[in-house]
Amino acid sequence: MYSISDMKPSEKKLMMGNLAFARGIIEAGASFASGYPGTPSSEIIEALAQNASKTGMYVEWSINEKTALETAAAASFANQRSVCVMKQNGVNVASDFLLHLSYSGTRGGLILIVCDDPGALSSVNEGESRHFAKMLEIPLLEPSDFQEAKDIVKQAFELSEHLKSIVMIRSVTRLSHASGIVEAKDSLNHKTDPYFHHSGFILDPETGPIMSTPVTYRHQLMEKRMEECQSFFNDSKINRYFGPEDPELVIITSSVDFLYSMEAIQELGLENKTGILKLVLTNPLPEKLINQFFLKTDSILFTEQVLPFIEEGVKNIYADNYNLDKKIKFYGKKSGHIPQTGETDTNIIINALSKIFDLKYSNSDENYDKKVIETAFSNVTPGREMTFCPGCPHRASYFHLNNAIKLDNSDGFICGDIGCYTLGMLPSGYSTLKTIHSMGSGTGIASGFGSLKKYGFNQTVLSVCGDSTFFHSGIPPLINAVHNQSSLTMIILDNSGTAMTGFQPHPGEKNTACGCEGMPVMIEEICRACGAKTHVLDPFNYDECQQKIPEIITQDNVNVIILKHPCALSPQRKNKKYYEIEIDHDKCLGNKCGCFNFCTKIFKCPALYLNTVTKKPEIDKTLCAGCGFCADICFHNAIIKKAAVNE
Amino acid sequence: MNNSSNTNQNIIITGVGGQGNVTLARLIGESVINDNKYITIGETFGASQRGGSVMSHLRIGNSKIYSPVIPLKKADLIIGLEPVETLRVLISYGNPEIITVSNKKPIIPANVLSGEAEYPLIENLEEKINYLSKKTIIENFTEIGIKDGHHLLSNSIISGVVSGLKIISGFNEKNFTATISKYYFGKTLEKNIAAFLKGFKMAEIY
Repeated sequence: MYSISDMKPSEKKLMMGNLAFARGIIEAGASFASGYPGTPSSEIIEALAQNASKTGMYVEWSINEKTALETAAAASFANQRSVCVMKQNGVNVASDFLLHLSYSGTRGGLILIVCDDPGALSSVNEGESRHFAKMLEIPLLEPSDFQEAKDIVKQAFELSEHLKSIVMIRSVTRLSHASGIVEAKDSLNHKTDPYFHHSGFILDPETGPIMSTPVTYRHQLMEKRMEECQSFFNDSKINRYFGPEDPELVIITSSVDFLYSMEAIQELGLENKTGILKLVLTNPLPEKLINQFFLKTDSILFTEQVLPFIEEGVKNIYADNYNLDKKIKFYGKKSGHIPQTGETDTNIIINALSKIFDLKYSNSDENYDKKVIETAFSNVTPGREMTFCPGCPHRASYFHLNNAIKLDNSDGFICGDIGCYTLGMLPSGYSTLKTIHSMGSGTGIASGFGSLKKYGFNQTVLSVCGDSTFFHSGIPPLINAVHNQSSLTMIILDNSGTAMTGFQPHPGEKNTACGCEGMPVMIEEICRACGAKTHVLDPFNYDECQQKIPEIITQDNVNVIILKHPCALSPQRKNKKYYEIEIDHDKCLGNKCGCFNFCTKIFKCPALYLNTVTKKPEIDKTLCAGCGFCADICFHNAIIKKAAVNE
Repeated sequence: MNNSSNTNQNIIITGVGGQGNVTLARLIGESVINDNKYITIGETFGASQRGGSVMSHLRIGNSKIYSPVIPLKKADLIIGLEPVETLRVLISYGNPEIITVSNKKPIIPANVLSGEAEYPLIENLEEKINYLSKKTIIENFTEIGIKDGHHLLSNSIISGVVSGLKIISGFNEKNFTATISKYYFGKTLEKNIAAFLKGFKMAEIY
């Protein structure tokens, strides 16, 4: 794997959008980077951490996004260029600090890179981070391709230093997780000695203390800052028009929608009629530039991901044009030409343009379409929902939890949150998760349910939370439950790392982001110190879990069970089997056993399937991770596990 | 699909999370980078490693490529690592000119394990894949890989087949070897190159 810090000026590489951002951060000479992992943002900090020994950059995975932003802000206060990275949900977590930071201002360039996930391709929401920029009055930049993702970083630092404000860059999954050709530039040496000047006059931005008061004074500065921000890019070509001089229609767009819009125009052959105004600065919107287009065209189409952010902003600017004696026809999410939910793509924009220009677009062959419809309706493509990987400790954990809840017979349930273990809501987790919200919220909700006992609420309440999530936001609700004498069992599914996003270390680990030694903070000790009765079990220890979990969950007050076993894909387990699994076809009675194919039908490990001819299970050796759990659940001991020999 | 120099090619690599789909897209992309001006890869990461359907969109060409996502019905080549996934992608992205290279080895979805759905007969799947493709190469590449030492060699065999079809400009033995040498060493590298050559020869029969 090549290293992004080794690239020479004008060298070109096929690069993922997130690596382009990381290269941009290195080129801009940043000295501090922090973040909390979350798809589709994680690769930025990962790449910076991998290159830290060469670049000398300080890189950390912080405990959560709010703390990440606070640490990055401190570096800025000490006159360093610093960057903070998170996914869209993270901005919600960091927003309290972000509001105050918007008032207090910054010193060294400070950038917040947020990766949104339109269509929720790997999220449990498609939240819009752009509205935070508007609400908190900070500049927002949206790069539209891979090269721009890299190049915008340096400009964002310059803008941040010019305005003394944090600058937000918004990416989306299709930019962060897609790849294209990126050309490198020289890396700047921007290193200065870190020093925090704090003894000057209270209003001196260079030497005074840094705070959000006096509030109205600072708020006025923020307003001025937003005006200045527009003129900063006046001469720059980052907001750019592509198309004919007198377009019938102008598409106003940003981010990857620029790419989709270009392709749609090309596909429909509308190059002579339609132009595209690509905006990179989307908060504040460049008013002067946009006003020119009210004179240039009669029709405007907005293409953007998720909410009508640019659309509403441009309509606002239009409404301020009192002297404009012209009516513009607007198309977009409000008119129904572009959906307001889910991802947009080239096809959606093709449809919108076809509707506006009354074109009959077809790229299909009638005969072929018939064949496709015939095939689609012939029932040969069963759906494929996500499932726990073979050998996943979560499948074993949910197996125990489901059994314990069923045995308890009080219509108990589990409150969950975000991680691989969210799949507990699906059949592969026995559909045991009944609430799913933000990080750590399962335990907060469980705390509330548990406090309803005084009104006769008698359902057993459990919560699940991952190890990284425990540190992120699982501790306050646990303390809340203990202090208020709620009744619940918090299950911590500890698989030794932030597994879902690629095994980034968390405070419970021995190493930090850059592979340096860190001080591990023990989950078990924290839970005990909080006053919860705490148990540590291995989910692959079938007998112990089957015996103890049903007992623990019925005990009053707050219990914690840490179900601890490394992820099957973790570096310590990947490609290493504990057991070789065989089916004893003499012992296995198949569907004559009375177990109703329990191992395949109920346990549902992808590596264990039913042979439809023999009606007996088979092991798919290309998938089996050798955890041995299926051998423990067979009523007839017909699944045999033998110690595996690993190379 | 044709080989003319200014035609962009749309390739979809599809399969199940954990099959090496994303790596394969990157491997082909990096192998042909010097022979082509523009390349994009759009990766559907969400379900990777968690047993869901995964697709990578690889677009290669000499004229500007905008979207990293291939529009519906616009694929030129489908590389399928799992037959149901191959068919699923053909239904959405297929057209009369499409060429399909697919593995025949099934990975059973959870809803089939639970008995809510049925996995189609392989013969039936093969017939439908042929029905929607102009040209098809469908084999149990996993089985061939296992015989040669590891089931995951299947992806290098498939790469060889694709190279042997000579439809991606610049995707040849030399470029493949140069790229895969960055990721694998020693015996693993040798086995993968041998697997590639085996695939390359297989394509000659078609």
